[in-house]
Amino acid sequence: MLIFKMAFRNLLRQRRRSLLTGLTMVIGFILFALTVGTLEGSWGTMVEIITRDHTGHAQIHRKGYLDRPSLYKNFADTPELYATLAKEPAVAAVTPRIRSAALAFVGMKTTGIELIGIDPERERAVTRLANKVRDGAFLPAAAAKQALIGRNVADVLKAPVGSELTLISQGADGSVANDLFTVAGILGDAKDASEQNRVYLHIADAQDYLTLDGKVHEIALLYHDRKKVEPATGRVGAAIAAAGFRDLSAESWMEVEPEFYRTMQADKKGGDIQMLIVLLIVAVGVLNTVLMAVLERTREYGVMAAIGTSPRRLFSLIVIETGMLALLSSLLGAFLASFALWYFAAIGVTYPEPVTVAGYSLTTLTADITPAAYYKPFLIIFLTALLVSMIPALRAARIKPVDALRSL
Amino acid sequence: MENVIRIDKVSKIYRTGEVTVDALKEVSLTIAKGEFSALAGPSGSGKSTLLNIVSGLDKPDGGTVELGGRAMTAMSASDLSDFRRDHIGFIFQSYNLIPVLTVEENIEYVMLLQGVPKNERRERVAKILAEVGLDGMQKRLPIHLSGGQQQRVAVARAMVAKPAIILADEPTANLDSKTGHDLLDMMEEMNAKHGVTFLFSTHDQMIMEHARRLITLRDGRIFSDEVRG
Ligand SMILES: Nc1ncnc2c1ncn2[C@@H]1O[C@H](COP(=O)(O)OP(=O)(O)O)[C@@H](O)[C@H]1O
Ligand SMILES: [Mg+2]
Repeated sequence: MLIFKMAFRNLLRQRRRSLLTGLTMVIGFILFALTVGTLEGSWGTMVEIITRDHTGHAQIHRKGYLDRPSLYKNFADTPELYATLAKEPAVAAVTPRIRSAALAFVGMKTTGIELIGIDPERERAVTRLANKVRDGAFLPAAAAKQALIGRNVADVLKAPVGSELTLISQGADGSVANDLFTVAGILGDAKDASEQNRVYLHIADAQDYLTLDGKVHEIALLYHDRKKVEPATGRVGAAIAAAGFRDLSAESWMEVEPEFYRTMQADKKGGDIQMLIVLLIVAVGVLNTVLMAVLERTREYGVMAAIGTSPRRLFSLIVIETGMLALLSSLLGAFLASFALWYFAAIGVTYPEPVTVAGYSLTTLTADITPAAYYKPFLIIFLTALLVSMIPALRAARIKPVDALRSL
Repeated sequence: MENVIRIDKVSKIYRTGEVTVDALKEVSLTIAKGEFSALAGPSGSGKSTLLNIVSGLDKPDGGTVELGGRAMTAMSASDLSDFRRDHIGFIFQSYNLIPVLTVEENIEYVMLLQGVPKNERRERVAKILAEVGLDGMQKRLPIHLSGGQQQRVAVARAMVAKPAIILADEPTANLDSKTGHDLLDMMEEMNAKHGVTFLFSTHDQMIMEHARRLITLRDGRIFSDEVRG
């Protein structure tokens, strides 16, 4: 196609200028890719933190449990249910939990606590709870009437490892639940907010204590790929429904932790401003170059129009010229951005001060190399360049041969 | 003889601020098919203005222009663009060629716009290159050609699209007199051989001598119109 040939040769005409404009786009591309990549990266890190901390990538509950949690909204974690989950290729590990609230006593001291029953071995596979034990030990695999307590509970109750902890709550049968547990370990330190008021029991002890034999409140799921949480959760939901567990539903961590999710989304918006600035620089650069080129070529375009080149063709010629430059720049930009992204993904950049988002702190800025880190910069740079070039292109299309030819 | 162009009472007034210039005053003129005519007259007499109106690059303030029986003065801008492409060949004083296209691509250009098939384009280009004496230069870019060679390419480009008329506004003004005469000789040859109608303007006495019909403009009016042996 002659028009492409002409556009390409026009690019080579003012090499320096094309190079500079191209470079603006290349740098714009890299900055864009890094912005997207690091946003996805820190987003990914945060997701990793929150999901591996406690939530898991998704959870299964009785329908309506999340809206209004209740001791009575429980379900039987039957072997059939586990078998159904095990058949899902996305699911890496699962762990059942019991949830309630209780009053904890040590001697004369008392405090309200969040009571969680866990299967210690399965919990290890899904979350990093075991890593948070600072004093004492994690719960043993078999129920032994032991408890893991949050740092705050330990402080308020003045309960070191080995203390006797009395828990008072209400059983599912309406009776008063009252039992003694030995503190096996203390979770976290003063800085870690997440486990402050939690008390973990072995799930069998918890079922016994709350008269919830064979029942659980939730099953937390860990997937192989945290980037595919939503489709995986959709499939898990469909699978358990198909297996006949009609009163159960699967919810992604976004639904389990909606507030955290909203905060993250808001944080993601921060990157938009950065991108807007890059965009403006690219736009001004392109506009300037193309406008200059059109002014310089007024006579030539005038001749072309005189001999019968339609305004539309002249318009296209200029837009194609810019489009080609944007395409080439994007290719180079993508190539170079790969190195930058790789650096951020593999090594990362340590923040001078840890950054805290929604109660979780980040120490290094890392990037995720996702398709979005490439196609978003490409689309934005390419479309901006095309759009901006339309202004001078329109000018060229409107050139009147008589005026252009007189400007000799 | 069949008329290619019929100009009837064409006038053009330029207004720049307070000043108005009557560049053309009710000029009427017909050009017959196969003519080789010169539009003469001193600088400012209205030659360019008239050629621009004939070619549809400019609109008159009064009067009508017909080319091949079609009223150009009534056409829309985009119709005029296509009309020029299909019926009018242009040779300008200078910078005729598209700088990024080679000699053969420049010659091919209008045919490409016209949608002439590739094989035919190639054939016509090869033929015309030989006729205008530019054999072997097809791959050159315009900047590597002399002024005279560039004008020859412009003639070739105009010829090859088979227009009803070729309009040339001072085609020799930027050439030395020898090169100018050579160009005119070549145009005459094209006219004689292919019967292409030419209308060119000049203020050069020597160049006028090539014309078989000499139309002289003065102050926007036709001062004389003579056919010579
Ligand atoms: N765009 C214009 N604006 C104002 N006056 C013009 C314009 N073009 C031409 N003229 C005037 O019209 C007259 C005829 O000009 P032109 O057709 O260029 O003459 P020529 O080509 O014979 O030298 C001159 O007086 C010139 O100054
Ligand atoms: Mg003139």
